[in-house]
Amino acid sequence: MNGRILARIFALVFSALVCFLDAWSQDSGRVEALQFNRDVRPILADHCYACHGPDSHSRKAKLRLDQRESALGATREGSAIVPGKPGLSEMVFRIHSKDPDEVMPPPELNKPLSPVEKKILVRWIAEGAKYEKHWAFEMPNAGTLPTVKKTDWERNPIDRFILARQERENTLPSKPANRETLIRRVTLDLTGLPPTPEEVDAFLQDNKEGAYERVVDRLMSGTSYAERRAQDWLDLARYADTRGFADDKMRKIWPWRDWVVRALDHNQPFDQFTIDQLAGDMLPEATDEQRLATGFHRNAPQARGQTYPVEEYRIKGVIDRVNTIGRVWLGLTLDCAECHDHKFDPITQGDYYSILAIFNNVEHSGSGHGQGGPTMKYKLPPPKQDPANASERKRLEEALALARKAMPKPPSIKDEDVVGKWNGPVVEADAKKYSLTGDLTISAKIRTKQPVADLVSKYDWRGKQRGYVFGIGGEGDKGSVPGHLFFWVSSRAESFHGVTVYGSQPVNDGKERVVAVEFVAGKSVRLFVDGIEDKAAKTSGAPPPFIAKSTRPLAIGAGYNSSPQANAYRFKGELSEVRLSDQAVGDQLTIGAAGKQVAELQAKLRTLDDQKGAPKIVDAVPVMRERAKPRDTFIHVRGSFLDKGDQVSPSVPELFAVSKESQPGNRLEFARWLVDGKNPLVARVVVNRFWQSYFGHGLVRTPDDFGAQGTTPTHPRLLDWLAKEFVESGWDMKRMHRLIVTSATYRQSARVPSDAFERDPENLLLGHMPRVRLPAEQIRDQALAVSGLLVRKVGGPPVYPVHPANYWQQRALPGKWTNSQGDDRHRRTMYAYWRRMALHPSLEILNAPARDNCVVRRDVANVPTQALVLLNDPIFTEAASAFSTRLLTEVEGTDAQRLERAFRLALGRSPHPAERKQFLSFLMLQREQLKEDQAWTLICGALLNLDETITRP
Amino acid sequence: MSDPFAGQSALQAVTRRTFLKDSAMGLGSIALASLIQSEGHANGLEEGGGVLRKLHLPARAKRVIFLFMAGGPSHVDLFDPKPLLNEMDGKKIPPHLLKDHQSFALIRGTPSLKGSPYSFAPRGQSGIIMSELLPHLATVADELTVIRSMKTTTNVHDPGVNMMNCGTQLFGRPTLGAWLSYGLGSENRNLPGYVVLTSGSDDGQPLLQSFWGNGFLDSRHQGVPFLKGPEPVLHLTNPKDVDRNRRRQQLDLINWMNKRHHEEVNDPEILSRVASYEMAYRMQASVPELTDLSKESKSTLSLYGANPAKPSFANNCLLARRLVERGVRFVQLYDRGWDSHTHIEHEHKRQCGAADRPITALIKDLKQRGLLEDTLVIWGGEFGRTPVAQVSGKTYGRDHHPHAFTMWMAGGGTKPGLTYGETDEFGYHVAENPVHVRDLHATILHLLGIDHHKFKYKFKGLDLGLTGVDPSRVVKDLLA
Repeated sequence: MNGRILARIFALVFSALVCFLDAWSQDSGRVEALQFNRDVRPILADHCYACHGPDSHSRKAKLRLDQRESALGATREGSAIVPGKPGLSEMVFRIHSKDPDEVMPPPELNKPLSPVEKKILVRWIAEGAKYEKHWAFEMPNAGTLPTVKKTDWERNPIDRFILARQERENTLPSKPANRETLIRRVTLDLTGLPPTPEEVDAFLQDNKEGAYERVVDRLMSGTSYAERRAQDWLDLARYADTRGFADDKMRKIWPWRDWVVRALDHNQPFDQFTIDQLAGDMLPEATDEQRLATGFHRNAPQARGQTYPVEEYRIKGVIDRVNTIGRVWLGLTLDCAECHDHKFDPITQGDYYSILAIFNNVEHSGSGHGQGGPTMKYKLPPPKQDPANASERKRLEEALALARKAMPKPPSIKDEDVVGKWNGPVVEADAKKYSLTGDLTISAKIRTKQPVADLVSKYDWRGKQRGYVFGIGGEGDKGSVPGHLFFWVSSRAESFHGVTVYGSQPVNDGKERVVAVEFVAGKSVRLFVDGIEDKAAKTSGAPPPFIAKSTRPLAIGAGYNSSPQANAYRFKGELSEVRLSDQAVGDQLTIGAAGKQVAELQAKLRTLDDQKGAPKIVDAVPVMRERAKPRDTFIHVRGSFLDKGDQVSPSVPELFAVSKESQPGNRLEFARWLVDGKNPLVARVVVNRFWQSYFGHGLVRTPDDFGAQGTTPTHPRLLDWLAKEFVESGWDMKRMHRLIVTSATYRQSARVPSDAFERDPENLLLGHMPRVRLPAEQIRDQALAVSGLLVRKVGGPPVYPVHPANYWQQRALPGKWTNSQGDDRHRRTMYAYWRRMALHPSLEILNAPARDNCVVRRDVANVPTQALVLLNDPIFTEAASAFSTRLLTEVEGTDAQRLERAFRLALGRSPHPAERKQFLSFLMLQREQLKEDQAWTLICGALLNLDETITRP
Repeated sequence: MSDPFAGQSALQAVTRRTFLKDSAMGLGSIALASLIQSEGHANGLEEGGGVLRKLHLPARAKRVIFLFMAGGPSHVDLFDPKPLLNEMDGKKIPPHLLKDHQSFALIRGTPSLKGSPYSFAPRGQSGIIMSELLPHLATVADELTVIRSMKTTTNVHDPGVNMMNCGTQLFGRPTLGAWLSYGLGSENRNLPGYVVLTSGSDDGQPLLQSFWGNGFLDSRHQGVPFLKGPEPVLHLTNPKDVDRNRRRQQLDLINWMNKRHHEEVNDPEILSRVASYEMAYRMQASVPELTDLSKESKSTLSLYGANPAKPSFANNCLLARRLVERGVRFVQLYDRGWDSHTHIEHEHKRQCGAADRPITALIKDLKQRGLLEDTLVIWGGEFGRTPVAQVSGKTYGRDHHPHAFTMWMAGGGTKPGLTYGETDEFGYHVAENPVHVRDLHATILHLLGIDHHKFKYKFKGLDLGLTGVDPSRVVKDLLA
């Protein structure tokens, strides 16, 4: 007993000293009062609540330290806390005790208090032991905008909050980022794609007020913006194309993914966005779109093997739904209360199962082969995706064949207008001959199946001897279509200045075709097939006033590839009646009105072709549907579904103070309750994630835990202001994103100030803009965009980017990955087949989540296997090679000009002189042994691998 | 170049420390709460390799080879003979065994007891009992510590593997290898610290990426699964027209640009990128050298029964030795094909036939190289197999059995020649000295110098570790 008295005396003396010893309060000479929420609750929560907190079952000594009345109440040993009197407080004695039986926390908890923490507790009691309701459970209160000294920085209220805190800590914001960085930053952030050089130029040249805002508005109006935002939502919604667990088979839930893109594209208000996804099926006269939206909660993994106990795995799905609601909307670790009362937050196990009762009424089985859970037949929205109608197609083709038969024989150029005639492949001996410089017309009769071949060529672009060339497939150039006609003409031999035209229909179908081109210098160019002008041909550039003289001899049925001999693009098949005229005689070549019907039928077929691919109706899309009779729900004792405790009825946790009459009784009422604007958490949690998507971290750095164990906001007033703004704007998501990216805070330079590592290593004050490594999807999307491969088709069934062979087999996973061909090979990565138990390995290595559960923030590691992916994965080597081809074909000019273009495509800026020198000498070195395109491929590969390239600046 | 992460971690550590110091004196209330929260927790504090700058205990083992017999080997056919089971072969299962019992995974109705057709004998000086299916292992019996009283929590494969790897049935938790990589780091700067090797029939249970997952730990702690074939690590090989010299030139250009950019934006992450590209380059040389078994002597190859040209469990065992020899912290071998619901006699004979010799060779080889002393070898599956038969037509097999099964360890500070724990007379339940998977984890960590109560990571407000809140103990009897 003596020891105890001595210890108490010690505590008394000790606490008197505390105020003097308390180093951290000596902040610029003023002593700031402790704040319970910021300074004290985290200590109590981490060290004390496990036994003296909300969980009634594990509570010791009937003492709660999370409630003031209990903490101040008398126990056998006295009061745990006596406000203002640390020396009389049992807690102070206990935390300083050396007696293992008395010291708190008990040693076996392995949670000793640090000296600093003890000091804070003592001082807090000395200051009166004031409690605050946990900040996140109070309604947001932005107060008035803080005042700041620096008045020339702010662009919107966000900045006021950021600056006020910086000024309080005696620091300043960074200067604005340069404009090239800025447009790259905002374009990558808003669309997930890099800006094109033309977009960068347009911005740099726009010196009028509001240029940046105009860029933002342009970016936000496109579907790419919706796709990028959807990607974040897919992580939260744990969207994947497979069911999960060992079986992990595919299910067709992609129409739901496309719904998300549409909803975000239309800027559906977040309240409606929430209601549709959680309970769209229960809305009066629910539309198909609203029913489809409920796929959100069907994304939960679902076991389908016969060995899984049916009820256990049905329950697992419902639990996943409750936990996801906790993480996505409430920012609470509800999952802790699955097995027992929450240890830190006021959520009882009863609360947990009362929410579960709301989601427990979906017709859904957790097991058994065949259909598990409700589905709908979903009809795809009509506009672009209307599929090829097989019978319609057949009808058109038959009609076309008939119309062709009835067509008169197509004419060729009249003899009197001809300057040359040939009947098969040949190369003229005299290079000067047929150097036409003004109008010209060419016609020929062909029968071939070749995708790429020249018919008439006086053109060697790699050899810088351009003139004119007519043929099929554009010498393999990117803009051309294999099997379609093309014609190029340039007024300069060494670089391209002229016009290119690409036909709209295949002529390599093995049938006899009369093909022709007419060029009117400085005016026009027309293609003809079988006497009908190809009005859908694509022309780019301007018809030059004259044609350059090429030193290459005229070649019939062949062309040039950087060689004096016409040994490239050789024509195979039947080639006859090749005629060349030095006049514009296109009108001779049409069959006039007789071809009208054929032209119309061809146009109809084209339209049909453009729409082929997606099926019209998707069967069995998983959605929610409510049972006629709700299930009875019980507490699962210790989380075991077999051990039923008390029955519960639908309701929300007590902390939300919802009256008995207003308790939500079903999913729809629950969804409406979430977004009624009276919930202290939802708006904060959502805007915090918006913030996170631009700054790498939220204002609360634990985006799924706003409870007692979460971190407190770095800028609480700003968080509240944003939350309030969000609700008052009618939950306008685009508005919030626009606010953030137009703030001065967002526009700061990303250079880390040299004193930041010491002053603010985690950049909590946002004294500069953090650099953020791009998400996996964007690393690939950008490589595709830069190299010109990207196909911007929105939505549809998942696609299959190049994947290592036999990868699944090695893991005994059922199924086979077949790499997509054609357009689908180069679609945006968010459309890649997402397999939960075996994500595409390159995406996995680049930190994309497999989405077997809700992911609120991706972790971004920096590991060597990522380097191997970016250097050697065919996805990226293919992109590097296409990038190189693009440079070699698009840019006529010097190496330096090509390099300039390469930098601007990949980095959105020109190379610095030192960089130019380094790259060009690298190029020289590689050229010693490699072909031109190989050398450039290495350059392009290097550019795609730069930290600067894969990081949002 | 030093350790690829050293640049970053050292910097972080320094700045973090400075920050801690300064925040006490200068910065006032900046994130006081978050600072105090993370103080004492290992989350962000790393130096050198792992977060555990000082081990809690003297380490007996430095690295681990986990031989995972995926599907679940039958303890009553390999290590745990039950005369009464043989005697009562064909009789219905005594009802008392079914008390306190989950339903069977696949068996329906009331099954009959099934004795083992194999003869058992004590082996070596220690007299550890093994069946005739393991003639080679018998020769190193005195190196083993056999636990006949293992218990786990589920009879379903993937949650069972999760349990064995992560200490919980849940997905999304770190595996043992990830925990060790996080805590202890890697000893080899040219190789990943956590490698997974796979073998066995392709129609076995699937191997899910969660089996080597990092859970909530940083993804650099994820296991790297080596693939069969010429490219053990994905995309290790340069494209056709890029030789090593040319790649070097290209990397020099990339690094030059990255360092330049670092000067411009001052972001230490860029230096860390430079380091990771360098390690990738070194891996391109070190991994093929590592996986090239043809460099091994003929006698070593024949000791293991390995054939460099043909992927096998034997090759993987040899590879495991080469990995630990090079300081790789954690190597896990998944051998598929142990899930014998039917034709168990054929299947277990096949599996033992392929595994017995290489495992024995591994132990001998480690021993002869002085590596066994501080390398912990663990053998087992996600559960055992039922002492009752799962009959299917004329054949039989055994179902999943979580209530009692056998695992063994060797080396790394375990007590050699020991048989620990007892099952009941049918091999059905543990009768004495139960060792839960959690206890096994606590013991493994202990051998590596880690106190399982102290090795935690803060996630979602909880201090999570390999062993959770359920009781777990270091099984001291297993230690040398």
